[in-house]
Amino acid sequence: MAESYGWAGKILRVNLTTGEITTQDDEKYHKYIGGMGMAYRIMYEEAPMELDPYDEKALVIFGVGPLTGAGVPCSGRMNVTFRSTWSKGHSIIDAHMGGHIGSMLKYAGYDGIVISGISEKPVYLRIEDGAVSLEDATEIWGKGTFAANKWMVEQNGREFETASIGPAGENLVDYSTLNTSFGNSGGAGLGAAMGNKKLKGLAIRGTGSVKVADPKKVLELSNYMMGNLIGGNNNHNVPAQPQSWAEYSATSGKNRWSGAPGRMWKKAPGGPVDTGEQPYNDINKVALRCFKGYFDFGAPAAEYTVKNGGCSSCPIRCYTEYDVDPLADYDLPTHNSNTCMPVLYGTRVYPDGVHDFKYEGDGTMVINLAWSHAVDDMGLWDNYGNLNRDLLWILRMPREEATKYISEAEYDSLPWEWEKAGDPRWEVELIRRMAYGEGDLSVIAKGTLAMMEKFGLPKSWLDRDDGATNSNLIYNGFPNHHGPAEAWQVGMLYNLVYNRDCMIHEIVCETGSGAPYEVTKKVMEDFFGEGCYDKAKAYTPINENKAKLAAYCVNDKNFHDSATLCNWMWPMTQSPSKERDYHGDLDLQADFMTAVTGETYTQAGLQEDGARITQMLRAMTAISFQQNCGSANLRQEHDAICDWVFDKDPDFKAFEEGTTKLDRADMEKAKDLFYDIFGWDRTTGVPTRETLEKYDLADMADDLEKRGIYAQNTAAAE
Amino acid sequence: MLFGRRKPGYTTTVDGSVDPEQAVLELQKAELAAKKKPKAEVFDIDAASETARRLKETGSTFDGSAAKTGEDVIAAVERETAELAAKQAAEAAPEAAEAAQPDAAKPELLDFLASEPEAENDPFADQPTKTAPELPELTPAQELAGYIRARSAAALITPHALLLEEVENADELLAQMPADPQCTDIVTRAGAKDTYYYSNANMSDNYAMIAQLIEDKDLCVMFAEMVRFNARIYPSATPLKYFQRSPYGLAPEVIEQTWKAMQENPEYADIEELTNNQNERFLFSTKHLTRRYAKAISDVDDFCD
Repeated sequence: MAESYGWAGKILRVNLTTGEITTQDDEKYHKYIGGMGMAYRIMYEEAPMELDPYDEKALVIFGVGPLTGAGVPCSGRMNVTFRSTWSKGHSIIDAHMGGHIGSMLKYAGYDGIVISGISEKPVYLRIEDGAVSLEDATEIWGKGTFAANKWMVEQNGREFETASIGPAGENLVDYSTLNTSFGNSGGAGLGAAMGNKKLKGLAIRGTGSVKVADPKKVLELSNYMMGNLIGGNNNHNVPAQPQSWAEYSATSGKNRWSGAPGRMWKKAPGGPVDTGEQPYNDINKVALRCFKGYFDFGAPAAEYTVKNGGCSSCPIRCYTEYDVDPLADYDLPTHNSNTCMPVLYGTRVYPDGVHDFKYEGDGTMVINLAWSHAVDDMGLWDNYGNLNRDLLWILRMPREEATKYISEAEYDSLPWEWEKAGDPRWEVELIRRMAYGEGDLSVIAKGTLAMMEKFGLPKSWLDRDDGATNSNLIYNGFPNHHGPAEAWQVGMLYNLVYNRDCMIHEIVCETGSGAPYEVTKKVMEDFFGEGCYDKAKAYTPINENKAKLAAYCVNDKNFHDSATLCNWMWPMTQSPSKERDYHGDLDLQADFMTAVTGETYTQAGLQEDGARITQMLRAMTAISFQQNCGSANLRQEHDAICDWVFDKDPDFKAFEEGTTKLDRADMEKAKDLFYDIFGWDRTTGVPTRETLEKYDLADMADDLEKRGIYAQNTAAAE
Repeated sequence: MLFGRRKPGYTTTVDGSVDPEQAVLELQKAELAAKKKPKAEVFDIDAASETARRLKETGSTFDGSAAKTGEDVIAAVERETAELAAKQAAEAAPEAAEAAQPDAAKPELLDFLASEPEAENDPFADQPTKTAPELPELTPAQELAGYIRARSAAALITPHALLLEEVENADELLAQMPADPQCTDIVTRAGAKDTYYYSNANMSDNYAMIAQLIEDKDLCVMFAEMVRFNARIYPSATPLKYFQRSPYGLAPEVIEQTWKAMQENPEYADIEELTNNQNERFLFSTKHLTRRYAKAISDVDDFCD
């Protein structure tokens, strides 16, 4: 194994069919950084897109990167790459998870795990440094993730980090996850990808460390970051309400720097904790900034909050931990923690609304946390709210309309009295049915596209703008995620790239911060050029700097999922420091890469590295679309935008103050600019040969040519 | 009585049982030394290694976190000395120590580290120990500045009237401050009823504006000023609930009464109300926002995390 810093130096290969476990020197993948980039290269070389996602040869690739476990703030992430079963094209896809398991994998000595094959019986993968084995998981097959994780820890010891799939994954439910016991999860169907392989989970203990080339520099950079650059969650750079040291705060009172005087963790051990003021340069108070529960639920959160938890190497602690005691009245678990979609959309399956439980206004919180625990236990993913939106679409129908889609017997078997009473057991029962694939309704958990097919809904169903049911920006089965409503054409462009929701937070971290528009605009224009940053709901036509910004976001996100860094926090674009004129430091992530690996990195170089991953993604997407959709014309097949994006807010015209609607012709021009930046054919959106060769991906260009994709491009142009 | 008003959750705490004059002196010393909190970029790794060595030499609990955060190192050393003395006293009375430290059985990382053998090839081992500089004597004007500074750190603006009440020759001392390089952070803000003093190293100018409006106790003016400010600067409409939060802390009925009074006063004709799509009420200024745009940016859109 080659001596190197940052990278552990080897990946683990596990064949579940044969039980063979080997290691491989991974130096040849370092140019792809790690995580996502490394996995994309391995997937391309070893598991072609022709394979069915559930084929024995299909791969599930866990990947971390040189920064994971290296002491860099906000680096406790792990990327998992596999094949989509539910989004259009069944192409390459990623799940992303936090917690401590990614760092533990590094401490055990691995940059990744490549899982192939299918086991005959349920197993879990046990890793204790160099001792790696497949262990019988029959005992926990069928169990929820909390019980399964507990069992694996009991079997192996408290020093092990574990993650488990739930019944959803075992039952090959497309919307499924891999979960830790603390609410960290990787979604996108990862549970089913593992369930198909009869791989119940992972138990990892690493007693080693990550070799760091310049630890003194890492410490200096860390202190510089902590005292000058980092804000709250999403790196929001002003507090949610006025603090004496801060010039600005979020007027709405709602952003992710939500700790504030009087905002308490009332169930903290030893008595209530007032999160107080957190001057931006007081690094010992950083962990009090993000009171995510208060951001999500307002004042009722204080009544149930025990403390803030979070991932390894992260000072932000965005996982609020709750003791929601009213749930005990329904025989439901009261200890809950999650920070993401599971705590946001539970109420959407209550067409008749919810009620308060113990405190004024706590209904949404109690219902959402019951949802959170149940989906995490079942290992059920919500596809960033599509599960809830699609359920609401049918649940709010009158019986005679709903029974056009599901049987009368099934409709009548639903415990409607719980729904009408706002009883949390209603949502738990729905989740159970989804996870076990029971009834017609459970097709919703197979994906929006599968649901449309089963229910006979036309493509135009996705063009609607009723606001409550779907928010799909494109026709590929996944929803808006920080799209045009938060980032104008930029958000629309980066939502075109992936085979799931984009998971890009580079812009919403700025637009959601609550800082004055002119302050943030100056930061963004100084970094990305004039005209790149629009005012909220007051958009301007596309320009080159906006397209460049969109491309930057894609490449940067790809780097984050490869290095790994948390994309909810990185890059350090804004700062809470008035002395810095609120400017962050985009170069810091490259500086950390240099300090950790001992090799010289620049931000421009990281953009190149991120772009290489973008090109691999695009080429593999073209191949899978040709394979599964009959056409590799990605502009038509992958990047087509739903009508509602242009037709919403009928009282407003595009670019008028007060709307986030886009303009069709302007958006086509935006695609042209975006494709040009990436070197994609304007007609088809496929990377040209010159582009792929520029990124040292000539083999992919040869492949596209051999498959006739370039010939198809030429034909389309003519 | 100085420091009479405290709010929960601020970063500086004053022990009510301590002699007030002594508390003032301690705070002045600490605040002078840390007049403006140092950035983490001035963090000196050599200083950290020095503190690590002190840890080994003295068995103390000082772990260098003060240096990392920019806390006054002298104050931290004094605190450490007191903690060490308390620890030694506790060790002399084991039963009392057990009662005071219910978690005594829990392994302590620092104890563990201190018990470890010396590291070989420690790159910081032979570096000289630095001695702490002595604090300069404070002039009366600097002492008064320290008082204003300490109040600012506690999110309190200081009315001129309070200074006159507390310090005999306050005006004379205040007049000396502009010429004193140690006092350049002490600035004033004119309110409707008084002039207010604050340290702009410990309190932002915009927060001082809010604090001044609160001290002036004219709620209609405060509402109008903040609604106009928010509309002009962010731009944003202002939720009525904004005034319920810190540092305003107004009761809902007071907010309603104030808004009602404003609607009857032509001076506030530019302030209007709107309700967003979540049935939340906002105020905005037509001098800076159209109703149509104010409504649009107040509406809450479908949200993903």
